[in-house]
Amino acid sequence: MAHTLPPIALLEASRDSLALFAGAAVVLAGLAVGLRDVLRFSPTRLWTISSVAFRQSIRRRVPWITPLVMLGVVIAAQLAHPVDYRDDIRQTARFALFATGMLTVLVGIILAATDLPKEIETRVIHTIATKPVTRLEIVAGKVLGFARLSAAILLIMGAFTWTYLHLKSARLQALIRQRLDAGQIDHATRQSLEHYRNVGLLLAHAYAEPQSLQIYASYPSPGQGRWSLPSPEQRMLVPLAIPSGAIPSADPSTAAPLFLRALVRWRAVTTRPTSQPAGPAALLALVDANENTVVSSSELGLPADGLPLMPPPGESRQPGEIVGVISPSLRPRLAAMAGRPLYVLVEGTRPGFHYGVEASSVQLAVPDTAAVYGAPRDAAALHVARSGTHGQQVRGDATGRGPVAVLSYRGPPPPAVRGVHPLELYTGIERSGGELTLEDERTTVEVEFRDAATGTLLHSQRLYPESRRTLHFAVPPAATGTGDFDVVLRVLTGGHWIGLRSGPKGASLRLVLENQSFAWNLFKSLSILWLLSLLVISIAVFCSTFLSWPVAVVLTVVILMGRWGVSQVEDVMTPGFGRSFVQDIFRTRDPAKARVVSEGVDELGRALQAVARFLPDVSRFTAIEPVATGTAVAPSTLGASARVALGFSIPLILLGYVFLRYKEVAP
Amino acid sequence: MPEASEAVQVQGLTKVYRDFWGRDKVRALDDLTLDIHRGEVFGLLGPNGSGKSTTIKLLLGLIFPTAGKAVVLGQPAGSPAVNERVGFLPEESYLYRFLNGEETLYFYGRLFRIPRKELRRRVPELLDVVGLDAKARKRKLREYSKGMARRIGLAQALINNPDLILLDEPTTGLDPIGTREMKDLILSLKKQGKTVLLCSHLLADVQDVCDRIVILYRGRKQTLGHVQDLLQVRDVTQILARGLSPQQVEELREFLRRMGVQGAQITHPTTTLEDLFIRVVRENTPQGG
Repeated sequence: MAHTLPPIALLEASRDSLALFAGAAVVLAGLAVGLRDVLRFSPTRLWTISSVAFRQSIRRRVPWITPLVMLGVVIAAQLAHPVDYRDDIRQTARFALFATGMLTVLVGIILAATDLPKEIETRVIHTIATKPVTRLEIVAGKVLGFARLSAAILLIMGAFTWTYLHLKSARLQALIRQRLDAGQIDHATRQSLEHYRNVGLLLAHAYAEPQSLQIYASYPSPGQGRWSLPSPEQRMLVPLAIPSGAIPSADPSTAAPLFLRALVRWRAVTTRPTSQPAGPAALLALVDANENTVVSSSELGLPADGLPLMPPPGESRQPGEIVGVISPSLRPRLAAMAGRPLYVLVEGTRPGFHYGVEASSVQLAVPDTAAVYGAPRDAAALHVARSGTHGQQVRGDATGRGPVAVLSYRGPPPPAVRGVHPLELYTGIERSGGELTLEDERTTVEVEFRDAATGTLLHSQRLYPESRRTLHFAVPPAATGTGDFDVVLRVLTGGHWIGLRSGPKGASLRLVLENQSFAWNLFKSLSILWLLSLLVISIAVFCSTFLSWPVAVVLTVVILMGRWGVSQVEDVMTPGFGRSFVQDIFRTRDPAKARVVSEGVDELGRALQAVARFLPDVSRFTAIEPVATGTAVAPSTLGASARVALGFSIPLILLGYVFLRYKEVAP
Repeated sequence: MPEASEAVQVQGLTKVYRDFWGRDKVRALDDLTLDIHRGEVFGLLGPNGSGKSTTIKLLLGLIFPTAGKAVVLGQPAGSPAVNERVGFLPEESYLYRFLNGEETLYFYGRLFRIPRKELRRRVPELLDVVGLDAKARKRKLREYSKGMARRIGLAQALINNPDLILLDEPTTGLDPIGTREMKDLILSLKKQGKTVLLCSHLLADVQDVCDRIVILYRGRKQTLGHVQDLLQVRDVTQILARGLSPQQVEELREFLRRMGVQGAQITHPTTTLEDLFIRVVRENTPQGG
């Protein structure tokens, strides 16, 4: 799916806390075991041991790999097929930083995992361990030594990246000036080229990202209801908070069913097709954070074309009530989701109407505990659109009455840059029948800036975006009002669809807050890579304190990639995966065998997810994309990387020390 | 803390090596009890596999005892605090091969937190003591001969001016001159009041320098005592005299016969091959060479 639903913060916090407690427990245990060695800790000895590890790597000519990597980057950059000048820089920066990261990680793993076992094998450790050196100083010294080597490699590769990108940028700038002087460029391209000529290609912008992106049937003026188009174009999601253990297990043959209820608003649209005799209808379903079905609408006992919302003739009951029945056999599936992000999917099924739902109207009743669960306090329904290649799709309508995308900005008024608010819009454009081609009519998008509290129009203008190219435009300072404003996008070209995204991987519309130095941004990016290498080295040294070096290398990779790997299969391993596994792969007619396999697979999935919580989250080390996309590395990104790196490195160093302290180094 | 009277106290020290499953594999050392006095040169003798190296590793904390305990300079063996006052020359010179001689000594010196200024004085001094010339000091250790490696190994063992020095097969790889220099150095260390624990299977070396020895066999202590006491043949008497003429020798032989001494031998003593070799080399060494 193209977007991620907002997580339930409390659950995420509790997961992080588990790892935090584990780390703190390890640190305390390490201190308790080796308090005397901790008190003896000497920076002089630490630096001396680290220096010998560093010098050893230098004399083994490890940094000589860097010229080879540089050559690889240059070749890769030459073979790339960028779509425009900025993309050329983007791809080159991506190659260079990816290669830098890979180099430091690989060098870190190999050197750090092999060093200690080799010192034990060659017995060099005999002359170290018989000096007044604590095992803590040995472990920490190794980590520091290889971290120094990583820093040296990063400095060399950083200098190369900076120089190569500057040379490339200068060459491309000259080409841009040549093209602009020659003329004969279409309006959109000229707009981009002039922008690159004026601000350069090596960017490091700090952006304000929208807090949310929602797609509505029409702009919801403050105080008015919010409406979605019927499925499959749009739908609504209401978060449902069910605490862990809230659904008690019960015998399916005697247990009572559970009930899911929502009140769905509707309104007839004037353009409703007359051929549509039926009234409004809607469906409910339960989905997880990735919109994988937990309980489908048919399992709730709802008709495939939706439950009619229209009251009997003569009545005007509004909104319409939908109640789904969750049979006792589905209890285990739902119980497994308790305490995890769960959403009620609400979608209108009949065209000619707009649909809406209030989060407070959604309820899950558990009769045997007489409990009723609903949306978290202050939660609102999320209005989302169908996902396409480029994100949530917004349909074009030449009449100007089509659906709208609303990107919400909240906070203090953003600072102006050179008297205006520069913005960037990056979108993919599709048309009915496929991707946009050159022969197609250009896409017109109307953008409105509205005050969030009053809905007052602050500024409006038309844009002509190109597919998969960044459109740079600026609005006057007054457009952002008091700082709480909505940007409303409406496509005015019929048959064209623009794809929009929001979330941690970058929003389609971004407000430029300031221009930072590219060198400073590159330095921050390299710092994140250094923190990553520190984590890698700590894991590798830790593994090498109790394993032979080949096993230590493998275990380091497993620890490093474990959480990411589990997150990749998490979409599949939702509750109920065991049942699907039995149905699709392990086909058996023996119900007892099927149950064992199904429960076994579910337990395995849960165990994997539980273990993954204690592994480092390498996705926090976002070093490459910001530099490639010209985005300033946020201090929070640096902070998150440092937290993960130090949060794991310190306990691992202490744990490695404890292992080494009780290890016979001269067996 | 008052200084212990013994440099090393070992009581019931036992080491059993176990396999992966925890089953006993080898009993390398069995119930060893001994004391090493301060200021003496103590020899640890035994054939291969007798438990000599295991004893040294236990005293240095490189491995842990299965039973018993070892106290070094009044503190538990192997603790970093004890290691401040201990020097160790391993069986082979296990050193960083990518460092040169000087760098090696600076590295080990810094592990003792010896100030750089002090090291600038001590390192050349030590290199002189162990006989490494200016050219050798700048060469990487991987280019060293076995004898040079032993010398730099000895220098690192002495970098902290230790009170207790453990030497595991110190003369291995050394030529006769080097061997003699090593033995002279051991005696000079003894003169400085240091305790030396010498582990070797070259009996002549041990005999030349050790005050007391212990002989281990199959992990057990077989004999412990002063070298002279242990080597003394109590029912044989030796008379040494310089400058006797053949006639005087004959008279002496006659006298012994009259005393009823059977099987008396009067011969010229031989020097050792080591002494002969050193004399020849020294006599043929050019002045200043």
